[in-house]
Order: sequence, then structure tokens, then C-alpha cells
Amino acid sequence: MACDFDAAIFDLDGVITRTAHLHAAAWKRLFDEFLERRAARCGERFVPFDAAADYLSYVDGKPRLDGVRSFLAARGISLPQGDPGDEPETESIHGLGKRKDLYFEEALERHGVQVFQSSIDLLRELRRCSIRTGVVTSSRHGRDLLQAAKLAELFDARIDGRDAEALDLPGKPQPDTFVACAEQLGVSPVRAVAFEDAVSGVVAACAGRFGLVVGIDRGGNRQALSDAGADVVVDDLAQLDVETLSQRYDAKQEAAAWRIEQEGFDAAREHAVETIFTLGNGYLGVRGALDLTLPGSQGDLFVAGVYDRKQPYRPYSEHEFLNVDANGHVCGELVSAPFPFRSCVMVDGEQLDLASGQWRDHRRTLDLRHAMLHAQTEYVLKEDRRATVRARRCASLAEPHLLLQELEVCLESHSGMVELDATLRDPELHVNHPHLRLVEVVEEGGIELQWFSTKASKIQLCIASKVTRVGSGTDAVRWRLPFAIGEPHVFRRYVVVYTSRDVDDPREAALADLRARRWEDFDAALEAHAARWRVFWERADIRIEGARPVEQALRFNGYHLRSAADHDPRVSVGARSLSGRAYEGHVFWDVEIFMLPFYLHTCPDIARNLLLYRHNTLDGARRRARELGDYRGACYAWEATVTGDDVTPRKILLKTTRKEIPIFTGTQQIHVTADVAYGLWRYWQATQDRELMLSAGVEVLLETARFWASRCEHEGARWHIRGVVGPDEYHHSVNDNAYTNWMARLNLELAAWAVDWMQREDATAFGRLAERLALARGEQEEWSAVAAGLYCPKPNEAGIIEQFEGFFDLDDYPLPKHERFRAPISRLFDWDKINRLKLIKQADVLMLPFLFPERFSDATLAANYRYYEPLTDHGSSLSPAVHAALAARLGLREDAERYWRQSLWLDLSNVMANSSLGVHPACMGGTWQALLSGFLGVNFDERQPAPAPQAGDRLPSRWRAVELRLKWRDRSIPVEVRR
Amino acid sequence: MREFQRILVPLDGSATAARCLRCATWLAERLGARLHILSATDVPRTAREELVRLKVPEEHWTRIELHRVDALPEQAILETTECLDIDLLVMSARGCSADTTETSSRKLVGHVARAVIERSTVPVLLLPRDCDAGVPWTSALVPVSGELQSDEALAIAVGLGRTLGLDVVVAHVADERAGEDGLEGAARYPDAPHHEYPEQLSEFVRRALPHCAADDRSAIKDILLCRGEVAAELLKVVQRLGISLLVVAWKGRFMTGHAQVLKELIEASGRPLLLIKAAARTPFRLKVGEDIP
Repeated sequence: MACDFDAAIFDLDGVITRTAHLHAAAWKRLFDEFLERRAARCGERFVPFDAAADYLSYVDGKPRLDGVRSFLAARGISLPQGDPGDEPETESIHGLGKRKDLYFEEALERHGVQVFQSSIDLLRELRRCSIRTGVVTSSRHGRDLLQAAKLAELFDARIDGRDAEALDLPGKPQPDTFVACAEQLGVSPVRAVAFEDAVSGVVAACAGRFGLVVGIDRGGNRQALSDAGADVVVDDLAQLDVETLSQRYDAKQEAAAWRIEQEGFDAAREHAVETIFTLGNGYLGVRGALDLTLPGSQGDLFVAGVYDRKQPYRPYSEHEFLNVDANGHVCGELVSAPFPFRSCVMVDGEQLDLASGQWRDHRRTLDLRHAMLHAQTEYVLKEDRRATVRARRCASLAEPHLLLQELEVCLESHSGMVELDATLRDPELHVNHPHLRLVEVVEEGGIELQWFSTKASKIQLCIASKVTRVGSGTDAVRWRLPFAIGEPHVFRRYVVVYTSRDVDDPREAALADLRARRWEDFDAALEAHAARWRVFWERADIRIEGARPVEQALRFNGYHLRSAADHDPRVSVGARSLSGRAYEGHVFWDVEIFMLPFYLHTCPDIARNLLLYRHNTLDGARRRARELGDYRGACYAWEATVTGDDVTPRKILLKTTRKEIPIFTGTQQIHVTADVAYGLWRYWQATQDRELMLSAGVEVLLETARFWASRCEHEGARWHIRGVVGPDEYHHSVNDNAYTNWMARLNLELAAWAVDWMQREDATAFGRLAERLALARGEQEEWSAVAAGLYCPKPNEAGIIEQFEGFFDLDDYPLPKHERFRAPISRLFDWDKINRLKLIKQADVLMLPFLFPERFSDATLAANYRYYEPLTDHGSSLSPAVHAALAARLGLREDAERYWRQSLWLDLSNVMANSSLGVHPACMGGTWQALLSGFLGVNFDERQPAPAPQAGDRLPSRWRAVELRLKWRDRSIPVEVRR
Repeated sequence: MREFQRILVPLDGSATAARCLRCATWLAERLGARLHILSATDVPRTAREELVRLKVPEEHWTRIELHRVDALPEQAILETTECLDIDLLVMSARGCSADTTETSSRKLVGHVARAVIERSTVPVLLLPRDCDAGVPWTSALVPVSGELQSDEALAIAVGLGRTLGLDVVVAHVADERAGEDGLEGAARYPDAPHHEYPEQLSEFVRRALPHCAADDRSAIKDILLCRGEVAAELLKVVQRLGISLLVVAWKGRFMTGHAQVLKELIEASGRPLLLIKAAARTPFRLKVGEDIP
């Protein structure tokens, strides 16, 4: 049978060979002799070695010197270390070790080697299934034992006590010997199964990150093996066969691919972890700060659509980047509100604090399937007393205003007084959340409500919470209770968030909501949330046979995309979603070009809302068209918030040099307007949603076409678009950017089509729209004419499309390798020099075959890829996915996989750098598109989406198959590609 | 945040040592710290006589403990540091023994000071040759590289800044000629740099201060981004802003080819340098990618 794991590594004594009793007897003989002599010498009572309890606790599985040390330490005896030359009679660590060896050898000679036949049977079965096998033992007699038992040929690799010494490997419970054996087998530990009967060995295998750890309980050790981390515990290997092992291994890896787990704590990485563990439901997002909040936690709560005038967040007064033009828009920046899960636990007056206090174990797990964040920490208090806190929480997908939190506190080693302070109050509101003014704090009947108002936009925001201790029947904000040792207490919390954007009186709405919530419904609320996520995953999950890490990363991306958007047509997804402050919640072209296809084919209702947002902000886009030069129609802002007005900064001033850096994107990166039209067109193709087109889509297409018709310049027989920035933002004020012109032409053509379509579908409604827009006779013809005459650069004789007028004449720039993916800061500081170079930030011309694959032959695509790819430094996180998709189509397997990996693991791989400021939803959407249109070759046009016939050959290495579903015109279409 | 409560100043009776003493007494007074003087002398004197000989002003005597050793090899200093649970060492880069030969006087850091800064587990306030204590201090400059080790230096500088009332200036120098991208440890994709770089720079600071409440961060007056050769740019900032103290993270290796920036700062800044080695990081793992099969 086929197995998902590649190797099996066995401990020897107690797993394969039955020598544990010989070892135990040798240890007992050694220590009893030693202890008796010592007792007589010191006049103490002789307490013999317990061959069961002492053996399991102190010596089982360990190298013999560690065993000697460990047992003697437990008896409070210290002996000199001695050296390896010590005689067996010497009273030193080495001497005793040597004597134990002698006793063991004597016993072995007397009794011979016995084996567990069931283990041998399993070994042979594994080898028949081409699983490589290894053996790891602390025993210095490992090889002799194998020879004596005639087992040597059953193992491809062996590490025994002598090997460990020669290789200078620490023994179990350190993982090194297991890992070394896996290395000898040429297998990554995660693709191997480890078999152990000793707790120290199980700990070693777990620390070595083995894919499955099997514990064998030879008597009385089951719980200890399980507690140490064994995934499976059996009495004997007769209880397992290869098929069962394979299933258990698979189940464990399947579970691992549904979660993101963090172990340990590093304060410097905490902000990045907070981003990754953000919870959201589209209405709100809460960063993954610790439940027991630290002073430096950035546990922001963001509510979609709640913006305010830009405020400096920094408590320090100056910064290199002075924003001389803060834009001043009243809705310029996404508001950060205080952490709604804030909790503080004190034990006997001592605060549980991960950052400045002691802890033994800390792990957090984001359960992607149920969108639930779990945390578990064992704190160490004064005098080595221990307290464990388990927490879980979620942002309900079923009830967007609701957050749920549960804390379980247990004093592990003593009884004591525990205090829980669950107040929402942020002691440094003015610095941490400068947009907010606290209007009122209400505390009544166990409910706490904080009522804020944003300073400029005057949005009212209310956060309210109530907490109970399960079984107490009361609600309170602060708790003080005596806890008995080992007795866990569970606290549960409802938090609700309302704003004046949702209801007239958010204060009353929040209070009424909380008053109505009963604790007996808590589990049902959790289940309703989980059920909604299950529905999402039925539509959005992607199974990749043979590549669990890829599945995990795709699920992480799907999780964040789903968390970022929901059902409010007044908002869209910011560049860092609701997971971080960076980009101030501004909405870019990212949504329509990079994210929309994901939503379109998994949750088309969300895609619809994202497009309605553009319709709802049409007035802002109309204003923008006037501001930019009295153009007609609507020009979407490069960076927008809820009003549609442009909020792109216009320049920054460098404090040190007083140098001013202009920002051209706000006024010149106008392709976003056509990108919105493109999004509408894709939506229409995938959904045929007549109602949306009639009520909003056509109006957007007409108004944007009007903008282009007035923005294009007529010269000779041609129309031109001058003074723009294309997707490649290193070049400004360029003329006839291929991407911009192509997209503008599409926009104009779509508008001309939309007029005819709407007249056919609903002439009355069209009449009303035309009247409202004062649509003049001849405008439709004008759009068609401009589209037909708009200059869209064609491939030259080498097949290359010039990115913009004069690009081929720019100076060459030999791009150093280290600048690829890590664009130096001079790209910003020396913007004017960069403008004159053949150096591009991201796919620009290449965006066209990415978006319109059917319009470009493989030859043209190859010519442009070969020309532009080496000029690109990927200063944008949007760039790798586009290159991956195109390279996959061209059969450039290595390029495709490299670029795709860059894109897939952008937020997860480099946890230090990329994620602390928020996740990259557009990159996640681009990754999804690169998989679909690149590797699978799915064509999204009028036809039902289906993978390319040759897709099986394009799959990345190790992938055996890909399975997913795509929503298409009210149907859910299964897509399956096998190698 | 680390507080300095037990300061040790080793004195060998040289003129340079007197500057250290001036600095240490000022610091001890402002921090409310205990000052331990490790004096190398073989002449039997009473403590009072010794303090008079060392020219310690009498008003400081109550917070001073005097320890005497025959000589001041690094071992004595390091052992005393450990025994007394010292949390800050104040010493001159060069003691009197180094003044004697022409070759050694060219050395930036004498052999004892070098051994101490390399092996000390606590921060060392090093006074370069010809550097005055410059007390009272008014400002501190902290270079941040974006590497994790510079976090600790910033945290200590902010703590000192709050207690001593110093303006803390944070500077990052992007040395692109060295093949760096400018913001070491920052995101790989700058995307929209006008959004990304200011945030990244702030994040350097926020990340370094996980235990620090927002109010404490107000000690930071300036966050600068400079381009060019690292030490040269930092020296410009020292001059331009009249910086009193440099707080520098380093890896603890002073041999040839290492700590180049630090060496240049010791040579040319003319300011005391507080040297910080990064503490060992706690274990951390995110189980993604290759960590699952």
C-alpha cells in the first residue's frame, strides 16, 4: 500500500528487544550496592532503588551517565564526574556508569536477547511497503544487541550510544539522535514515524518534530507517554499495522494543515504574530494580541467603515518621514479602537505576565476550520508556583456584532486568591487610539460599556462586554475568588460592538444586545459561528494531494480573505484588511484586480458588495474627476476610504535632509478606474447578475467611460492617454502606458455595450438612468470611437509590447541579485533617477496576459516575459503571483514554483518582517489566481471554467492532485486536476 | 525594563579613571543606585583615606561601597560584577597601564577594557580616550539596525531616557553600498513606500519596546533615517544634535573584522558609549511550511 510517511524509526530496548528488565535489574544491582555501602558509611537508612518507579522516572531511555546523574540527583547525592578511564569500582559518575555496563553485559550473557515478535512483524511489513527503517538507542550495546538478535538487516540506519558519543550528540530527551537517524535515512523527521516506550524518548521525538510519535506502554506508563506528547499509545505493536499507522499519520497531518500553531514567545515577534492571528468577520477585525494583554500589545479593533481624520499614532514627537500634506480628509484613516478581549489575571497579588514574568509553556493555535484562536500558557509565579490559563475566542461570522471569549484559569501547584479584571478600559487611550474620545463609561448589572466618538468624523462607537464565571450565575467586570489547587475555573465573555453607522443609537443597541444574551446560549453562539465557517470552507477549500504545507498556507489565505469582507456594500477591503494599521485602511486597485476573483468564485455575494462599494462611492469618484482637471464622469481615487474621495498622500518631507518626495500615484495612477470596470465585467460573466448591472453596474461603466473619453487626448488619427503612472510605480508622467490604455479601452467598450444591453433589458430603467446622468446623444458612439482609436501599443518585431512611450530608450540598469525582492530605499529617495531607468517595480505589461490570457499567444507572452522579468525587482508584493501564473503557462516550471512560493508564504514565511503591519490580502488573492489560471490553466471567460487539458503536467513537484470547487452562475463546479 | 541599581566602577588610580568616577557618581545619584568602587591599590588605607585619594566628593560617600584588589585584571572586574550582582559597569576604554607605550596608546581600547566588554554579561558604559563624562547628559542616540539585537539597546535607552530626562534619538542608517536594502529586517516588499517606510521605521521602535507603555515611549524625540556609511552618518547626527550618550547594541566580538561601526564611534564620537549585548532570545516557533509534511 502507499504510505504518506517515508520512514519509521524505532527505539531498541523495550520496543524491539525485551531488555528493559535486564537494564532495570542491572541498574538496581548497581544502585543498591552503592546506596547500601553509602548508608553504612554515613549511618543513614538504606532506601533501595525501585526497579519500577525509579527506573521509569530517572533512567529509562537515557544514556547511562545521564541516568546515573539523574537518579543520584533525585536522592540528593553528588558524586565527582570522574573520567572515562575510571575503573568500575570508582565512586564517580563514570565509574558507576561503567559498572552498570558490566552488570548489564553479565545479565545479557546469562539470559540472551529476547525480542518482541509483534515489533519484528511490523518492521517487516513496513519494509515491504518501501518504508525506510532506522533504530535509535542510548545503549552502548546497540549494535551488539542487533547482531545477537540477528536484526541488523532490518534497519537502513542505526544510531547507538557509541555513535552518539562519536558524533557528540546529546542523548534523549534531546532530539538529536532521532534527528541524526532520520538524516541517515535521507528523510525529513516530519515525514517519519517514531516508536518509543520511554517518556524521555517520546519527548525527544516530539522535540525532533516527527510526523507521528507512537508510545508503547509496557506497563503503567500510558498517561505519562501521552502527556509527553505521544500521538498514539498502544500496549504492543501488534495493535498497529501499516494501514492504521498511515491513517493516524494522515489524520495528524490533515489536522496540522487546518491550523497555524505558534510555540514559545518572543516579544519582538509579537506584533507579527498578532497580525497572523487576527480574527475577523468583515464587519470588524481584532488583532491577535494576548488575552492577558501586554503593555506593548497592539490589540487593535477595527470596524469596517469607521474612519477618521489622520492622527499621528506615535507618542514621540518627530519622525524622519514628515507628512507635510496630511491630506486632512475627515475619513482619511481607519480608526483603531481598544482591544475588546482585554483581561488581566492576578494570583495572590502577582500579575500573570508573559513578557516580564516567567512562563514554562506558551502556545497559540489558530483553528482555520472554525476561525477560533486558542491560547494556552503555563505561568510560573513566585516560589515556583504554577498557574495555567487556557483561552479561546472568535469573532462571530453568524452575528457580526458579537465576539466571544472564554478563559480557563487553574492553579496547578497551590491554592490561592485569583483576581480577574475584564475591564475594557485602555489606560493609554489617548496615545494608543488617538482618533477616539471617550464619551461615557457605563457599568451596570455586570455589563461594562465604553462609548467613544471619533474626533473628526463624529462616528459613535460602543463596545460592551459582560463576563460570568461558569456556574456562578452572576455577571461582573472584576472577579476575586479563592481557587483550590488543581481546580479549573471557566470565565465566559460576550463582547458586542455597535456604531452609529449601523444603528441610530449604538449605546442602546449594545446594551440591549448584551442584556438579552443568556449564558446558556454561549455554546450555540459558538456553533452558529463554526457552522458559517463550515459553509465557507465547503466552497473555498482547496485540497492538494501530496502537499500539506501548501494546503495549510492556502487555507490561511482563504481564512484572511473571508475575514476581511462580508456584507456591507458601503465598505471594501483595505490594503492590509482589518488586520493592521498600515495603509490606513485605504482601498486600492488590489480589490478588483487581485482579490475579486477569489470572492467571485467562492462567495459571489461578497464580490457583489465590493462592487456596490464602488457604486456607493461614485460621487467621490465624480469629485475626483473634476479635481484632476475638470474631467467628466467618474475617476476612482487611487487610495480611497468610505467617501470615495482621494486620500493618497501627495508628498513626504525627509526630516534629515529636508528633501521633498512627491507622490505621483494619487494624481496619475488612474488605471484604477478601468480596473473597477474590469471587476464589473468579470462579475457579470461569472454571475449574470442582471439586478446588480441594472441598479449599479451600468451607471459605474457609463460614468467611468465618460472620464476616459474626456481624459484621452486626440492627436492625428489616434487617441492617447498622457501623464500617467502604470502598475509599475517607478515611472511617473509616462504616455500611453500599455496597461492603462488597454484597460481604458476595455472600459469604453464595456460602457458602449452596457448602453445597448440595458436598453434591451429594461428600457424604462435605462431612460431614467440616462436622464439622471444627462447622457447626451452620441456619447455612446464617442466611447466606441475613442476605444477604436485609442493607441494600444502592439508587439514590436521581437514580439515585445513597449510598456510606455519611450521605455525602450531608457538607460539600462543591471539589476543586482540582492535587489530583487528587496528593493532598496533609494527607489523612494532617488525617485527621479529611477524614472529614467529600465527598472520596473512589478508586472506592468505582463498584467495584460495575466488578466486576458486568451488575447495573447504563447509566443508573445514568452517574448514579453523574457524581456520584462529580468528588469523587475518585485518591489511590490503583487508581482510574484503574476509572474508565477505566466511562468506556469509557459512551462517555466522552476520560475513558476519559485514565484508562487514567494507569494504563497508571504505572510507566513518571514514572520519577523512582512506581517507585523498587517496581512497582504491582495497577494493572497493573487496567489489564488496564479494557482487557478497559471498551474491549473482555468479559463474564466464565457464558458464554464474548466482546467486546461495539459494542467496535470504543470502541477508543481510532489503535488499528486488538486481538487476545489468554483462558483459559476449559481452553480458550484468541481475542478479536479491529477498529475 | 532593566534598571541600573548597582553600578561598578573599577579604578586604577589613573587620570582617566577620575572621569569615570565623575560619570558614575552622577549616574548613581540620578538613578538612586548603589555605587561600588573597585580600587586597585596595594597600600593599606582606611576607606575614608582611599575615597579622599580617589577624590570622591564627600556628598557621595553614603551611596558608595569600596572594594579593594591588588590589581585590576579583567578577571577581578568580572568576578566582582557577578558577586555583587552588578547591573552596570562604568569604565574607561584605556587604563593607566596602557599610557606607557607608544604602540598601545594608539589602541582604542586597552586589553583589560576589551576583555571586560567582550565577556561582561551586563551593559558597560565605556568612556573613550580623551572623552569627558559630559554630565549632565541631555540626549542619547540609539542606532537601530532592525536586527533583533538592537531592540534591547533601544529598550534600555528609553528606560534611561525616562529616568534621566534624556531626549532619545533613534537613527537607522541604510548603507546601500554594503548591499543592504535600507531597512534591514523590514518587509521584503515595500509596496507603497510612502505608507510602508514610515510604518516600518515606527515598527522598529514599537517592536523593541514590548514591555513599554506608550507614555514611556514619549522619551523618544526623533526617529531618523539616514543613508550612507553607518558610522559616518551616526557621527554627523552626534555633532548636529549635540548628543551626550550613545547607546549601542553589539555582538560582543571586538576582534579584527568585527564591530567596525562601534570601533569608529569609540574613536571619533568623543562621547560615552553604553554597550549592550542582546539577551538570548526565548524559543519561538511557528508551525508552517516545512514544519508540516
